Amino acid sequence: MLNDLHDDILELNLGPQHPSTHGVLRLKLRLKGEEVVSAEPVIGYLHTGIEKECETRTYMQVFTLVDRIDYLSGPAEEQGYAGTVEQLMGLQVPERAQHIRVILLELARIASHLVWIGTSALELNMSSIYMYAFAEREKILDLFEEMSGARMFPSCWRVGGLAYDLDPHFEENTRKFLKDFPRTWKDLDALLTDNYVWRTRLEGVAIIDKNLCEAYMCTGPVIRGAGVPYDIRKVYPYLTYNEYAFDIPTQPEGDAFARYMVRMEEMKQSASIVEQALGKLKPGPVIVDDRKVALPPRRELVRSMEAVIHQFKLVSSGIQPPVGEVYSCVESARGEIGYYLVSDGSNKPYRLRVRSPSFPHIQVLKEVLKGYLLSDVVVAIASVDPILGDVDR
Amino acid sequence: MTTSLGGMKVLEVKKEGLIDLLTALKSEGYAVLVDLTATDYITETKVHYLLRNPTTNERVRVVVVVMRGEKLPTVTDLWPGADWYERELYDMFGVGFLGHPDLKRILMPDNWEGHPMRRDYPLMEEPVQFKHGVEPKCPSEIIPHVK
Repeated sequence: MLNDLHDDILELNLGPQHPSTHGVLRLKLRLKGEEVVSAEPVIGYLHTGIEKECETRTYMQVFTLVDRIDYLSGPAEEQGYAGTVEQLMGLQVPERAQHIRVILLELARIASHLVWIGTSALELNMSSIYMYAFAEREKILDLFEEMSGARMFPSCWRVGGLAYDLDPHFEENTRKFLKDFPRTWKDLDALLTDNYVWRTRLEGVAIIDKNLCEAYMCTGPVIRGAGVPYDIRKVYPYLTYNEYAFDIPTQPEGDAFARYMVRMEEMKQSASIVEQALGKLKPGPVIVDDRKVALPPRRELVRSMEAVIHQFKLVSSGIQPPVGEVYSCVESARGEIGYYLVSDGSNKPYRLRVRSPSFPHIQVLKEVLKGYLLSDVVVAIASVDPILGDVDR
Repeated sequence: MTTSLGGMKVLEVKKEGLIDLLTALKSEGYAVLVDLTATDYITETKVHYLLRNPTTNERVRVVVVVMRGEKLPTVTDLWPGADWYERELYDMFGVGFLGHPDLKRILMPDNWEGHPMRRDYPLMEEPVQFKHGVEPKCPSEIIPHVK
């Protein structure tokens, strides 16, 4: 009788409402005892139709929408989209704007990794780490808020540059953050890297090796945790990334602990990139001078009729890129965000495809989870750092 | 036929030759399928396969045109990760894939009618109950389409 019970397969629904699924992910698990026999991720609970919506919005309105796809790395989404439109229109973004963009992108990467480390630790019942990580992230959000008024999405990207220049105190405050950050980093490192519970729970769990990564299109920390130094910032450099000295951290093991190590090291590298970019900031314009693309400066509006006409045209119908198709990609905190844009010459994108990094990372779970215990499922989900808004779009 | 897209090679192929071309490209070194997506043109749908060579990091885009209602062969044998991408194309564009292990909707609810990413699928506001005389509008009408 007991043996019969052991042979039974238990079907268990994990999610969509479950604190450890980082959003509204549902996993259909088939369990034998506590061991996972098969797992099927079910997605779509956060589908908002952003790609469809983008087809009915002007190029400037799209920024607000793409921000909210991967809501922890809004700047990366904005850069991905802006970069695609700029490539299509052949625009050269002013140097100052490029450096500022890099600063915001890398700060957002640190913030995103801090959220990841905090929530992952919280799932393993380490609530103090969650507090430390979120307190540090709060400082980055304060920087964003001071600059743009918005906390999670600076949303200051415009086609051809930035909406406004940096706040006078931004540089000073960012330097202060960079000075304090290594201390928090060391705290987190000391609390986790040699922590017995953390290591036992993460080591050897959810192994995604190089072959699985390539078969399932994994990118970002997942593929770097499998020993492949694939980073868009190095492979297909955008903005001024080829001017900075930074490393691509990799780990050969491919397990959850390797991905943790990669993310920790990436935070350090990002902080160093921000520091280098701050050093390269020179005064100058932050948006292109093309009146068919960028709004005229406020002071011109009272003097020039032409500026008023340009302003009116840009606001009432928007920019019109030439007919064409373009694909460009950026490295977000989660991996490769690719934007594929088809323009028919009108003021709205004909088609905007977002290749999101979390989508394949959730898909690979069905291969990864087999044979692990139910308690490892939580670690496995957390270790690929999915954002369900990014999965479902 | 070959064209170029921002420095990226674009290969256009008929659907009969799709699997042969992708297999050849995969053995040539374009071993990673980066993205699988489509663009709808009402009567036909262009399906794009974006491949990457992991050693040289060159990318190539393979474009195949399918007419409405036609089906493509699946590439899940070449790249198991194409599974969800093909399901997404089926869900959003109504492109069928022959030989796919489990072709069902992925993002929309299972009982959804229509394929939302098709260009002739209207994007309308949801009708509001008890508000008679208010016609649901299309959000795109706020700023008109200018060409």
